[in-house]
Amino acid sequence: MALVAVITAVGLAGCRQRPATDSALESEKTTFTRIIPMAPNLVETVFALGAGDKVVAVTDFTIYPPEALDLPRIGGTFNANLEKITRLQPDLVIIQGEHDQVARLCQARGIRLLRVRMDSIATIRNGIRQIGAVLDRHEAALQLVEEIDRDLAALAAGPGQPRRPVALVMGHTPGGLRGMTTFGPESFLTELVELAGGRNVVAGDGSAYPPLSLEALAARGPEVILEFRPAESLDDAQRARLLADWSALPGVPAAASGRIRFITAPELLIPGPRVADIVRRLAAAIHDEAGLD
Amino acid sequence: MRALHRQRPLLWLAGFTLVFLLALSIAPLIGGESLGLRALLDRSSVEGFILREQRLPRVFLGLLVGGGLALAGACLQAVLRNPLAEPYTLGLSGGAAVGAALVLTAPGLGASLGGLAAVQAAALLGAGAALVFVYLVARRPMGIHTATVLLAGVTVSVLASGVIMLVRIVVRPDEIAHVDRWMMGGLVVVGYRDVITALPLLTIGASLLMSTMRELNQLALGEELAGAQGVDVATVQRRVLLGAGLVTAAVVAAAGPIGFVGLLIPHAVRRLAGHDHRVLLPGAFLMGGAVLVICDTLARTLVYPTEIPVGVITAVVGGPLFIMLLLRMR
Repeated sequence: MALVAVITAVGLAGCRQRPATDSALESEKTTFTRIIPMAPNLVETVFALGAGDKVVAVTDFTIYPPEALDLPRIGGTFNANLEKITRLQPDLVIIQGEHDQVARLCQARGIRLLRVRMDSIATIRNGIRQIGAVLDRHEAALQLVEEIDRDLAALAAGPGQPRRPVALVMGHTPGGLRGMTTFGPESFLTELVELAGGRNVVAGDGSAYPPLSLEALAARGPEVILEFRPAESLDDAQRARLLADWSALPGVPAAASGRIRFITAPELLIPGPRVADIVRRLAAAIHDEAGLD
Repeated sequence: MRALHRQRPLLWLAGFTLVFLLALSIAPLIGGESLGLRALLDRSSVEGFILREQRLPRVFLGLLVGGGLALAGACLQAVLRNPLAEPYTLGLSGGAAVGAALVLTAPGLGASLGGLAAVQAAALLGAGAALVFVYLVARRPMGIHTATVLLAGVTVSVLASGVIMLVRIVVRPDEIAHVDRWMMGGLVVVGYRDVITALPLLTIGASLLMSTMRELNQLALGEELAGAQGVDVATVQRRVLLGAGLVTAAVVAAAGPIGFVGLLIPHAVRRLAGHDHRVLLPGAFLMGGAVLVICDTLARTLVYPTEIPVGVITAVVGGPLFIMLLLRMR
């Protein structure tokens, strides 16, 4: 549960279903001066578009940019304090997915509510354009999207280049390889791993984030295992213990060679404007012997 | 001491009423955002809005939810003759959770049915289905088999847990987080829609339960003795099951499953004011409401601005209190 909360709060995926665009808002020429983006990736997007000075509060799991960290907090994405939001008197609230009480508050207070979905490269592009349109920063949005595309194109593995089989794992209970979830074909990270020259070994499986079967993992023989442990601080001894757990699967190439990368940096799970940087760091984790922290 | 309690039930009832009124009048004034006099004097101010549209409806909902759960728990403990009985023993919480989880994770369903209203409707349907199932399984020609009610309720809860675990496997983490958040319970509201939505079922259910006061006193002597005194035991059982079912379905749809209030408060009130259901039932309602509002006040102020789900507070505070109560009863 805690893991799911963290992964979700940092905005791994995004949204419940609603139309991604709000044409009435986009065509509106109001200048918003008090913005609350209610997810870390939305905060990053607003700042990346140069409207950071209009942000009046952020959510608990916001980690970037540094100037956002001193802003007032409204609680978590799912347990935001609505009284605090009312008190801050925003004129624009940006949310990812559904939040019915926030929607009701916005309606009651005449606050503009923008719903954005950012959980893949395509939806990140669209979300940036959408927020740019509402903030009257079309040009900045177009430039940011172009920049992301340019960086991604430079990083992308060539079509003929062999892709390294990678297993993406969300944590495991120390002392044994239990309690693991993996990232399925619809996940944000599967898409990025492909761009980073890897191939998610469970990409053919059905659901987005299925529990990981050790048998399936052994059968698919990943050369690299990326184990995500967001926001954990692991010392050398803890790393060694976690690594030792994987020795239970000596037939798996990644375990045999010790190519188990523990990824604690939460920003790698944030689908926002820094997506190209995530691809670069994943590529390092997959291909470099030194790996990545 | 116990004799003293039994001699002064009305005094205790007055005390419970006082606690209820204090919770109602003080809780809206406490919170992370200090409101000041402006909240009372200037209706158009931000402070006025927070008081009128956020805190007051939240406190009202807390009083209704906590009161409803404790009332239902008191009646179920009496009619099932089991101290572990509580509203969720009937499996209603599990049924409601399955309904809510399906709506919260089904593609497009939440939006097409109108967001929260859809979740509430699904929770209500789930709770209703669980109640009907438990009733049909436990029904006998001469009434309801109380042990079967408990077993069928536990079975529904286990089944519901299995379904929810299955749902968790196939959905995205953000959707899992929605479900988990709902299952922790919460009283966050803007405006009075949730209070008004919960009222009809709650009123009907609570009226049914309150109407059984005298019969429950006679049932305390045993079903056979009560029957000999002219109590239609089967009818009382049906009224309590239906009343508790309606109340629980209404509150679980409005606030999610909130544990311990329905179990702990009836025992605490019984301990203080005695076993007379004419005092116990209104007392449980008043204290259940007051205690939940106090827990919710803690939930929204302890780590302000982050909100702790009130279900977490009731479990963390209620658990040790219940153990203390058990120790004192030895």
